[in-house]
Amino acid sequence: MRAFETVLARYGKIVELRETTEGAGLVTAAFLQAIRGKDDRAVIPTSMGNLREETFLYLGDPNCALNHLEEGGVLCDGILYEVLSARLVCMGNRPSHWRAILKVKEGTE
Amino acid sequence: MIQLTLLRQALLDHLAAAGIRVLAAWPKEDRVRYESPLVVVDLRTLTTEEAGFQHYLGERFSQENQRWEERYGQKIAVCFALDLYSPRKIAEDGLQRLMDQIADALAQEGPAGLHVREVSWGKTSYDRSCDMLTRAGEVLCEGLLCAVRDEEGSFLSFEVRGGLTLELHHES
Repeated sequence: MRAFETVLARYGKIVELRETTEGAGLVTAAFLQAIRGKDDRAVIPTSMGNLREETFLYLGDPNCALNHLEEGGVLCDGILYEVLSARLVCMGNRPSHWRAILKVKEGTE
Repeated sequence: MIQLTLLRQALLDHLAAAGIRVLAAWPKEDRVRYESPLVVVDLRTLTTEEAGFQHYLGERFSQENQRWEERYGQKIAVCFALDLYSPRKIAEDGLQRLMDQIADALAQEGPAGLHVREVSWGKTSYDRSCDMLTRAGEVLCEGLLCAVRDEEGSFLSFEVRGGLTLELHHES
């Protein structure tokens, strides 16, 4: 087992990759952490309600793709995140991990 | 302090009663993704103008209270901001339908008995943050704000002629 997968298996969080908002998805492990910037105001008031602008960095299993979750997202600790961008990171010619930027998915009416 | 937010609520109720999806502007809840067109309502301006001599409108016998009450009043002009939103997949049709519905709802009378003097719309644009088409509008209403004073000289309430009563709160 490669180093990243070893660390992921030990310290990663359980996440569920969902192709749709309903139904079960693929359960795997990943690192998920809020991205801190100069402006830490994560909640922006708008005329239609508060908008959550906070983004999260996702690092996960290279065998569990994130580039087909437009209709669903990543479920972690009961919160559904939408995938803003995702790419497979390779070390040399070998896939190392999936790197993605997530944000909390807006609820629907 | 007069509860002016009741004016906005009156318009919200008026439009909702006509089957229009409405939302009071700047709610404290999280924003949700809307699948159907809606109107975001806010109170933009309220201007007053003198009515009668020294605002005095005369006396009226209150059947309810069985006493004479003095009435004072001001003409008011209320400008409401109506921001229309329509999901991109419905596009301009959603905005047009909303405008038709609002025109119908305000054709007979305005909220709280106010007289609708003008309805205007801006140009359509795209709001990337919510992925919806939007068009800003304004509704200008006119009415009479009456203060009722009893024989002891205390102001009891403010009424918008035609319906809405604005409760008067004295700050201690």
